[in-house]
Amino acid sequence: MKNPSTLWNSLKNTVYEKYGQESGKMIVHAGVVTWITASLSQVAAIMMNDKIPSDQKKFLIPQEIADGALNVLTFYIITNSLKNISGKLVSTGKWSTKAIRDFVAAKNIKMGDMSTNLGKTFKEDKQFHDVYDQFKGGMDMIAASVGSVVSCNAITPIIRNHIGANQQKNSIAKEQMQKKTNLYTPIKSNVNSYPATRNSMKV
Amino acid sequence: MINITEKIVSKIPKREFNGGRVEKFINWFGKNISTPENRLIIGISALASQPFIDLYNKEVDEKTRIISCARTLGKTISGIITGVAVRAGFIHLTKKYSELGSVENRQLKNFFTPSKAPPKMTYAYKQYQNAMGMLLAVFGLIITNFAIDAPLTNFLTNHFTKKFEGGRNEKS
Repeated sequence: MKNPSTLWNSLKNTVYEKYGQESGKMIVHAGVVTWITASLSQVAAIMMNDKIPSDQKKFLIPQEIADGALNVLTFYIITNSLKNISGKLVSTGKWSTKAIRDFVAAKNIKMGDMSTNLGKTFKEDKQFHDVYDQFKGGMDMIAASVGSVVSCNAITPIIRNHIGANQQKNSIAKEQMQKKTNLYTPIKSNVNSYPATRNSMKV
Repeated sequence: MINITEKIVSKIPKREFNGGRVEKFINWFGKNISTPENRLIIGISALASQPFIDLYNKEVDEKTRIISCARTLGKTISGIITGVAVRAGFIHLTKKYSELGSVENRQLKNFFTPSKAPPKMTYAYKQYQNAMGMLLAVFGLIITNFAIDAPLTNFLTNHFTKKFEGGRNEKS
């Protein structure tokens, strides 16, 4: 078994290698985890709030659950897709800076070709990566930020409100049906309505 | 997924930046925007859009609309406060204790420094510090979501509901 110090160091190295050159990736991965925990805590908050009437809770709880699920889903799909697109634009050299082109000029590389991967081609060139990583990181962060704003603040609220409203309508309709059913059902009772009479009849 | 990405990328026109404003902005964004700033951007844009989406939701009655809008405001404000503070706090902590230098010479100041760290500060290392800080912040956020976010959201929801309902009664 590895000792804690080795494990800790391998964790740090993994984070460095995985996220060091792709800053947007962290936004996506951390975003998914934090949206899940945030939604769970918000559902707990609604349940604990005594000042919200139960009819409104019937809208707010499904709204919050839908909000959490949709946030995770749309956030991941949209943000990750935009990040992939921006990453591909830079790695293929379709979008490039003068400094990147100066490095590439010496080599016979087709800029903008889908098979080109500048990051891999210049893997060992630290000077190239100083220029390339910064531009790619900037594109990554812009894509991640635009994706998260569009998914969390435009798409999710509209869909979650629709889902929440439907759930509320269904819950209220069910409750009214239940009330009506209770109104017409005779109360079953095992208690003798006239116990005194019954006792007096006993001989 | 890769095929779709490639199809989209192949339709986007080629762009060659020559050190102009757009390139400077892209580089600046990558250098200065990390998860706390990203959370702030999401929060501010949420404040500008979500309450109005809730307030004009014609599928529910007026009372539900008001509470829903008040809750969105409360949730967004508490989310910004704790989300930005916890992320920034943990990133600051990581940066403080991930100094570059000899890792063999183990000290508190390089507690977060990986053995593969470069000898001098690079863009990738800066991103590592942000990523490690965010990783720790996830654990912090799990606690603050329940301990601070949930009660603060309730407090703010009730406060805004009272205000909105007061305003509605005054109008009628």
